[in-house]
Amino acid sequence: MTVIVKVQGCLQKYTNNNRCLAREIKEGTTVETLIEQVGVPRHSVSIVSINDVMAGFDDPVRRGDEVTLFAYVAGG
Amino acid sequence: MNGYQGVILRVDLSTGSVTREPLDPAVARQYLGGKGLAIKYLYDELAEGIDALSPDNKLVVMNGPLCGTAAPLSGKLAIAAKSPATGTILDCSIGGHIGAVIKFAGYDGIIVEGKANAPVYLNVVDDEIRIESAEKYWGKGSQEVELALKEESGEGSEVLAIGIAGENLVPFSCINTDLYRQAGRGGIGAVMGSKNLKAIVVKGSKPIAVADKERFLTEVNAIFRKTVEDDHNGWAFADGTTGNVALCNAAGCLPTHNFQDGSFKDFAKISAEAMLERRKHKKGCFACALGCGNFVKNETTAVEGPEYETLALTGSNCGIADFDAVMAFNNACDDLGLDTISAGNVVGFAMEMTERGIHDYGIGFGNVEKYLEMPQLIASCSGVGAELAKGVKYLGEKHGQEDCAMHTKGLEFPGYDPRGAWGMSLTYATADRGACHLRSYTVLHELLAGSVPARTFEGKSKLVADMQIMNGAKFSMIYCDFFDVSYEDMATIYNCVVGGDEMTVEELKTIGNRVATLARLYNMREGFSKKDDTLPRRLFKKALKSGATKGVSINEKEFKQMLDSYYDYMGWDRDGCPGAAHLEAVGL
Repeated sequence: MTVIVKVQGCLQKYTNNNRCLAREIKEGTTVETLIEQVGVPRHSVSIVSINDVMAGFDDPVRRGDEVTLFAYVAGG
Repeated sequence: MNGYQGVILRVDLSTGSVTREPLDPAVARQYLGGKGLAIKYLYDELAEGIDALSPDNKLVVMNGPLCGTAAPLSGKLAIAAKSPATGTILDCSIGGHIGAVIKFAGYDGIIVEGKANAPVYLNVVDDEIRIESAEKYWGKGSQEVELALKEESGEGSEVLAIGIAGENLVPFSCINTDLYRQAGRGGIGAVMGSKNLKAIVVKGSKPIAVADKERFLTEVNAIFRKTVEDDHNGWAFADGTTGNVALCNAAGCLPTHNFQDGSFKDFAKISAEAMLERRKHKKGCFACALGCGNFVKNETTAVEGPEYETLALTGSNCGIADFDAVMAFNNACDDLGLDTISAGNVVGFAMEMTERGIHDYGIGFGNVEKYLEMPQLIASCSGVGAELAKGVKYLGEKHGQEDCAMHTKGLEFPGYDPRGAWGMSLTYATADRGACHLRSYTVLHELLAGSVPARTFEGKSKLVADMQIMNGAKFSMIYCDFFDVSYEDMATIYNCVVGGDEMTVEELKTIGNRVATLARLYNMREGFSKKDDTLPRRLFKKALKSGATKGVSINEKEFKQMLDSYYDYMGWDRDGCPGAAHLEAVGL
């Protein structure tokens, strides 16, 4: 199945400067596994969202989901 | 004094007297500089209960022992006074290059007291100090004034200036430098305006002595490399603070429709992607390795920003899903000299009251046309702006809407709804200048690093106390808030620059606690107490409506338990009073 992965901020250095990727994954794949497949170091990801709502790293990704990986951000 | 110039410049605008006072090395060791030294002077010199907009108040400008050197992210400047918005102690931190230039002119700080008979600006060129007429600049925007004064003063000069909001004593007016950087909160611009002081222009040519140059350069090089190459700091150069929009929306803490919701359906229209479509180049402050500033431009507006706080408070909080409109609002606020955090709160509150039929301010959520009229009306105190310019606390009391007036101690809320990051409830309730996110930015751990759960009270009282104590030292040193610096690195760089008796991590912690406690003592002297360490009741009574925090509110009983526990960690009693033993322990 296909999912969309959005990569925020400085994490794009791991995705050839692409902010938005399409990935083919197996049913039941977790967010953590997806991050590994995309090639972003897990420790550089602060939080993740699925369809714009904060999610856990162990959450399964479903068909048509949009997963966003956020880099560590300090301050405002 | 290595690191310091050993001189404080004191200017009395009532008499026109100018004096240079020696900086006491023992006091500098106890308070470092920046926030600590500024509030030490204010605590000692301001009488209890003064009117913050009277000549009795003082404007204290302080750099720090590292400022002007190559120490990473040390180029900031503290500007402090009694706040006209809250009546509390107020210290602001401003970036750009002015802090370093004040040091180059030979000063660790400038204290401005009294009130000039007519508009003036202070012109400092090394040892030559002039109080000059600002009649031709009064009524002008801060950006126009800064550019004119820089042209007059020549290359290398830097300017602090107020806009018309500061002249009109708006309690959320700010001081600007580098055109787009602000000492933003608590009405510090109004303090300057109350003194008829339009601007401070500084140019300097003096060196700064560094105790151990060789070791200093080695350590600076190591910290620069660690900072720039670390993903944890890479956010700044990538998207800057705009990256927080999507993140806070996902976490359900993005202020929306005057804090009635924590997620905004059109968040993408005011997010990092929208900024990147308009970005022309990056900007940074003196000795900065992060470069968080985004200079953006469209057909009508060029501005540095908007930062996350502006996007949250003047964007989603006002129901504005139009990045270009936020840019225009932001730029107007910068030139007029308005704090965008408070301005966004005030406009959002007016929108809610209009839509709920409480009072018709002629503006509803998402009304771009009316929204863009607001900065000018507020700064000039005209039309509906005359009332809005008095701030959220006033509006809540006037209309019997205190429950949804989003402020603590009179300072409007920053861009993190505490229902999505519970540590921020304690942060806003206890920050020394009212609802400020920077004294203990628990969002850093609750969301941005994901190191502690966001929606729990467990561990948050200690987290807030630890961060406030650390920032007591960090904001006195004075480092940029965005720099995730450790006590160890702070001590190392201090020892390289200042030398003498070795500064230890333990001493830095004591200094941080001393500064936090002195701020508390100032506020207690002004009549503040535990009853003021609280939150608007909307957070306790109303759950958020959508997204990750749908159905979430703050449990008031648990919040109060967390507050008591926080006092314990600070070393204060359960009434929030530092006792004699604690005062002795922190050297007060």
